[in-house]
Amino acid sequence: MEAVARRRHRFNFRGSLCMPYAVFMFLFVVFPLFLVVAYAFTDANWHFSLSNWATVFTEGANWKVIGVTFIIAMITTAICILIAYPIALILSNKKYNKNKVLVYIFLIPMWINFVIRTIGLKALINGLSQAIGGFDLTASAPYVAIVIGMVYDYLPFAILPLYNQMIKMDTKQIEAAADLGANPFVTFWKVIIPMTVPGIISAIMMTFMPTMSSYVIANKMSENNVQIIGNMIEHEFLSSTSEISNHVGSTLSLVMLAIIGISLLIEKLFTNKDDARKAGIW
Amino acid sequence: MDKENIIISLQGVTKVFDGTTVVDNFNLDITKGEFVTFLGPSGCGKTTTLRMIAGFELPTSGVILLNGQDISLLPPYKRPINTVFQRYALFAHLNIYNNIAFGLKLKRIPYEVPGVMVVDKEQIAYNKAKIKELQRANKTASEEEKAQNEATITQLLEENQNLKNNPSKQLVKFRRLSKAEIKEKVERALKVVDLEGFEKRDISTLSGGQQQRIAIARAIVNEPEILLLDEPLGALDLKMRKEMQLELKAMHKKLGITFIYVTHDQEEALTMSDTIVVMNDAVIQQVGKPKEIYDEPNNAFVADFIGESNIYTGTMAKDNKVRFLNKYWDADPVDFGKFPVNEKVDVVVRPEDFILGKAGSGVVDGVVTSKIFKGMHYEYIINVGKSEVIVQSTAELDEGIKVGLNVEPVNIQIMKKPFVSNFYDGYITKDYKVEFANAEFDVDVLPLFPGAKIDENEVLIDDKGNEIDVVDMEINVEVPFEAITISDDPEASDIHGHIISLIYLGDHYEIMVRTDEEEDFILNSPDLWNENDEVSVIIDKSQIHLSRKGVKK
Repeated sequence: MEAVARRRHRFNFRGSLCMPYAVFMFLFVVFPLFLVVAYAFTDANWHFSLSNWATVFTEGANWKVIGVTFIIAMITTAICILIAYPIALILSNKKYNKNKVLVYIFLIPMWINFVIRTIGLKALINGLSQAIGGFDLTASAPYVAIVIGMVYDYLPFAILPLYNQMIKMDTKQIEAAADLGANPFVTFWKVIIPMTVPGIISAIMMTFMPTMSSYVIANKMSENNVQIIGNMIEHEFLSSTSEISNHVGSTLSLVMLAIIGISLLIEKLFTNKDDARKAGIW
Repeated sequence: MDKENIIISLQGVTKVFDGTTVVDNFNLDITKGEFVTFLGPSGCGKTTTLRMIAGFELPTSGVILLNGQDISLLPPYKRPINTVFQRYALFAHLNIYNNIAFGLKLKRIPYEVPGVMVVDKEQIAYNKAKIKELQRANKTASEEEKAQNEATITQLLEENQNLKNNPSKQLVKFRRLSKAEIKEKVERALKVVDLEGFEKRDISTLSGGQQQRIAIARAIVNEPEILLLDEPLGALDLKMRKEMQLELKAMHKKLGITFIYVTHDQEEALTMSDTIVVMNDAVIQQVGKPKEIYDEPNNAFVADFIGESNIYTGTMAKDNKVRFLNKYWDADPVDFGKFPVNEKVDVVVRPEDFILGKAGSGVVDGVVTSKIFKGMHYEYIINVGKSEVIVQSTAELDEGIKVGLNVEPVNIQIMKKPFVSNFYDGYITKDYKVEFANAEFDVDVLPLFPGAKIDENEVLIDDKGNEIDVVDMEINVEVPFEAITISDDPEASDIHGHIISLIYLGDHYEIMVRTDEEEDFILNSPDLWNENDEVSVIIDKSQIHLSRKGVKK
């Protein structure tokens, strides 16, 4: 017994299996994050400084970009949930979706490269707006075009977690509600919605986080006319000639991270532990 | 039955799912305050019947009357009926208080506003409808009738004018229950199920038995006219189940609500119910008090399903006798009048009804082959010839000894054999063979057509030489139980199915085989098979009997 115990102490095989992941996590998550933090709090000569933060927050234009990004992400997420919820509800009903083929119809667009998808969508909505009003939607209403593009691209990400949650729904509880005198409308608000809260949270996360950071859709749909936070970060790292550009870019990245983090925390307040445990993805 | 007291009446209720009849022509009246149990094996249609009463399924045909009003198509939330679900179906996102209060919060109760009178719109609408009806009738009525109708119409119009001008009806408004009322009702319901003080607890902190009680409380708190219970004790362990059975029975007495209970557990049904409805294969087999069902089963299925039984195939004989176990037994004269001599019948004798005596003292002798002590009595298996008899007795006997068996005539239950042949709809193929149950049989069809023969061109001709067109003609096919055997060799025949039921009849089993195409074959077999065994059905074609549809023998 003792020999076995000692051997175990020397070499824990099971424990060692997580080593590659630990190395991977350190190299590709912890270390880069550390680098970003280091850049954000130093000046061009690598001395500690808060000047980057001053640069970011004193410039009025930056506030505007952060605000626009946040509002676009919020609107996109809200529209995605409103569209995805009924679709997922129908898809999860075996009566309408006997062999799950319909689910694929909604998910197949995800298989196509999303830049191509976005360019295609842009051509389509411009074609439509030209036909109806003789103008390019992307040029005359770039914000609307961006939201349309983002909703189109991220809708499957909202449908999937909702659908996953809904197929697990206890249909007996829905019957019980009807049995206790709840009409379909009351049943929906008092039973179906609460049962699918974890799915709703997942869907919000799955759309809100990428819409906060992605800038390709914004570029394509607004003919590069609308700046969102992603554009700014790209500009700082790739095209700015300023010698502190990498430092300012890192600071902006941290600001974005903070917004997402705070949103996550607010989300958490609305879910109790029990729901979080059952949540689809998060 | 007292017509006044009928609370719910199911009339010819039938439910078909994807072409399969799950409930077939269900007729039943249930009186106020009754404890009715639907009993049967799984898949017999009992739960579907309950779900139609609750409103979750709509009947394909037939009507359900609640207090004389047709509710067949009413959605569940409009019915004064509540259900206790098999797996509780409690709302996981609500605590116990809110689970129980769910129905109460939705409830609207009528109340009269004192001193406020309103126009009786219902009466006006009713009168208007009547006027329209009379006007329509006037188009075809005779002069005399017309005048009379016109007078009535004028009278009704006057009445309506009067009603409009003079508010005559007490104003009735609907209100929600107040918070205090809800609280009081929830507390009372929790007291009934013995879980006082649990209001704030989370559903997930409760044991199965406690969740079951909450489910019951959630249903009874709405004071339904009928409480439906769908195998509510199925998920509990044996001891808990016994306890809850007694509590449910006590609750039924205390509340005075009509209970409709669904179970496959015959003991549960016998202990709790006022009335048992035994179902099998979508059809009611018997309705009666527990004692009636036990003592006087209608058929072999009921006898076999309720309690332990010895079931034999018997033959009615002369002089009030019935022959089974190769002997003549005195039969109850009441039964005797029901069956003609030589009719094949099912005979049921309960194990406790056999009287054991010395060898030679009874009608038949047997050898004790097994003895099990059951606490209150011994259970013996006694071999009589090739048949086995199960006997319960308090007397102690040793294995291997010879005993005589006797039965009081009233304890011999004689029942009509449902049928001794299988019947199918078949048709004649172009090779003059017979197809039924999705298989083709080389049976001579010539006897169906007197005087006909097959000529050198292989065409059926009548006695004048004219061709008779019989291809695709539908015919009746009768296959006696004896003509069928089964085999576990899949190559043995083209008909494959699985065993769906087995009834032991003393020296052989009556087996029902169902094919994938939903054709049933009933046969007798000396061998013990298992339910769901995949088998090939072999039919002795020489015993297949054909007859033409619509032609009397």
